[in-house]
Amino acid sequence: MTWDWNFAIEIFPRIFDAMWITLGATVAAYVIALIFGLVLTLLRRTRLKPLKWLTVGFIEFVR
Amino acid sequence: MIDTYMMYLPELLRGAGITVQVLLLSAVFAFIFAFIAGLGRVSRFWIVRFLMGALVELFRGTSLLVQMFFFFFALPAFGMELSPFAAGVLALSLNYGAYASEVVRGAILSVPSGQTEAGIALNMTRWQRMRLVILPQAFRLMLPGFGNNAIELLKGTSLVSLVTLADMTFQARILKDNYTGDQVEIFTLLLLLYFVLALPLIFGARWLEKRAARGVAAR
Repeated sequence: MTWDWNFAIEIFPRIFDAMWITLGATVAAYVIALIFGLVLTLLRRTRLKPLKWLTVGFIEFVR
Repeated sequence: MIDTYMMYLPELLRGAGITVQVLLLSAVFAFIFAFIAGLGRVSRFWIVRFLMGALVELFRGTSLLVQMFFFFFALPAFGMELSPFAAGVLALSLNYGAYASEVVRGAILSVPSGQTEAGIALNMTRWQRMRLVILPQAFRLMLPGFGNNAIELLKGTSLVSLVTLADMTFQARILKDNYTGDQVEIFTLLLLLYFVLALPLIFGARWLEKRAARGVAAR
């Protein structure tokens, strides 16, 4: 096994800095997903049949 | 236009074989791991509960792709050389098995406690109660969760292309490099093929749920 503490500490700042992008993407995508999910749910419950089936088809395909 | 699609179809189908193999093998291992971990988490021994809980949270709480990279790139440093196929299947099995173990645990816990009490009243052992009373009822409750996990697993298999395994996504990426300009056709076809593979899973899950609901009073 070749575990090098010096190297691990050296690369840590790079990985730590990239963490903000991970966190940002997670939060942003989650907010958008919640809003988009609500819109899709409403579209799925519409009385207009074609719109309803279009939404269901879209959901199943993406999923 | 149809010609373009027909031209790429055989190439992508070559990768489909690998995708299906990874899917089926991972599904079997994930299922086994899910039951071991799920049952472990409702064990009467705290040490088993703790260890299984830690294992599940470890594999559920880290990125699937990073797990795959770890098994493929980092394990050789510990003297364990895994093929791309083995690394991919291992990561997928443990990750989706961890998710599915929560389905198993939830289903077992949601069987009414009166069932356990009836088992005790009939002088059944713990194992008999689990095997003959709880699990048959819990299994029905697991099916929707397993169906979801199976579809997620299929889509997760596309990540094996990043550890150099020649699955469907891998073939598409090669085609994209060789035929620049046809990316739209290539990736549209890839999406459609994944959907075609998902369809049997979607309908299979529905069929199983219907079958399992037979002879059971609606709640």
